[in-house]
Amino acid sequence: MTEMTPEQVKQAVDAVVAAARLPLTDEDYARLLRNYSSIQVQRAALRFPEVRYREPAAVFPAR
Amino acid sequence: MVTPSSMTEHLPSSIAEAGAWLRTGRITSVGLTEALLARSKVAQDTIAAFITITDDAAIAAARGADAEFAAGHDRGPLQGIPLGIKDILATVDAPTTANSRVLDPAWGQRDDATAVRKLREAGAVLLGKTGLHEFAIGWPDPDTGFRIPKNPWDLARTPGGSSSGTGAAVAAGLVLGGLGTDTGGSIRGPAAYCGISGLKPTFGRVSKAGCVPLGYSLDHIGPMARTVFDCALMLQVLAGFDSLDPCTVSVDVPDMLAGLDGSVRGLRIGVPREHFLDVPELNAEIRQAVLAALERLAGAGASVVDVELPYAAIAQHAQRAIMYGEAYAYHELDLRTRPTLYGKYTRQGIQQGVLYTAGDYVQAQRVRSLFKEEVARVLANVDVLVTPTALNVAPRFEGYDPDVMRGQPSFMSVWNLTGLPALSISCGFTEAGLPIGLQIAGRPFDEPMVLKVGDAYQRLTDWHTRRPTLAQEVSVA
Repeated sequence: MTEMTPEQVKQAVDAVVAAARLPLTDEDYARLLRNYSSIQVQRAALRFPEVRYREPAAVFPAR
Repeated sequence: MVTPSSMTEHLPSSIAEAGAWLRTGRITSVGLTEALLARSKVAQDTIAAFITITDDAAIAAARGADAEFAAGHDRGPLQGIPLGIKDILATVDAPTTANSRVLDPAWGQRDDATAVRKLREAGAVLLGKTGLHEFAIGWPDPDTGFRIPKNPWDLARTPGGSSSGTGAAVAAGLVLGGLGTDTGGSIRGPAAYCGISGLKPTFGRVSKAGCVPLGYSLDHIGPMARTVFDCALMLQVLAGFDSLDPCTVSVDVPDMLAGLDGSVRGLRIGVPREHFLDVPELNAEIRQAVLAALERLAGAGASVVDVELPYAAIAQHAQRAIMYGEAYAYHELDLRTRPTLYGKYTRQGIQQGVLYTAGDYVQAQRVRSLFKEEVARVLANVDVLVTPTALNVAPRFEGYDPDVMRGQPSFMSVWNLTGLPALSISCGFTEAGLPIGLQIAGRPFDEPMVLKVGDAYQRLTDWHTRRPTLAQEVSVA
């Protein structure tokens, strides 16, 4: 995964926050910016060949 | 006047012991309840384990228990036993806050949560609602106006979260047991940090009806007590299908005590070293204590073998994606419309959910499916898995950084992902005198095996009998 520049991180966070219509304090916003990259790494780690075609664990009993 | 020494010496230290005393007339439930209520009130100035103490309801329940004993009516081991309830579970006799200004008080105006109802029907005496991290996530924020529970072993440290109050209350001897909830370790973490026993049962074993959700598919309700035996007594009452909770499973509830014979001879204990023991971030004293515990179990006849869970690290990421996704969905409207009512750590924690996508959530469920299979393969060859409960001892309040904590490996959250039963018990203390937790996980609905190993370890050791000095210093004038 290519590392994002701080400006790219800011743009990405601004986009999701705007889409979510989430009001943030300056501190909230700073924390999202700070955590964005590590969460991206974790999100990316969820995608690997062994789970590519796997059925998810969610279960919906039909009754 | 009740002196500190009299409170320590003349009160039972476990549910099992109290049950024996109640049945031989050595103590009454009213006497026990009054003593613990007095102790709890004094400890509010230091440990602050409770959000609400329900004196009148507790005394009334204790009177009822005593009257039934007198009439020869015995509901079982919890009759007359004082317990605490995490304030995220609905109770008819007290408000439910989830330690938050956000939760609509009307939410709590309902019948008892199923788990609470079962405890009452078993004759338990509920002393009150115990403190927690707001909505069972985040970190205490004094600006919300709620008291912050402290660790009885060191008041400068957290008892852990999110079942902070129950953990602190049990460790300090304010109650003999209580309920916690666990979405990523919220029963087992406080159990480890407070030197007590705490069981996250199998997902579906105990009804969640009447509990404010955090992560719908990860939340569990379970017992916290001084001993594994007491946890088994509580689980026996709590377990069972509930039509009010579609997650509960209609399976037989076995005798949780049947296997508690002190023997581990012939049992196979798996140790997933790579992601749970040979981890650079793991406190060296904890690692040593866990290895010593394994030696102790091996010495008692268990066979200890290394096992591999290669997807464990990714499974932790999956648990986080699911938890933040589910928590964000629950809190989304309030985060938009009245965000400043949340404590800042809770708000900022749940806000992380906005950084995950719907695709991440499904992908995490795929990982969940894969990891469940991997663990099932391993558990086909061993009876339980043993690991440290936590990377470190209870953190200090001062200097806490939630982002540092979030970036560290978790040994507990993967068992929420799989839904498997997992128990934390005390396996020693650091040189600084802080408790160390040992985690025992088992096959689905095989709590009896998990309890058996934990109970056997407690018969081999005395770590679980140690009490914080502070608990002995609490005095009542």
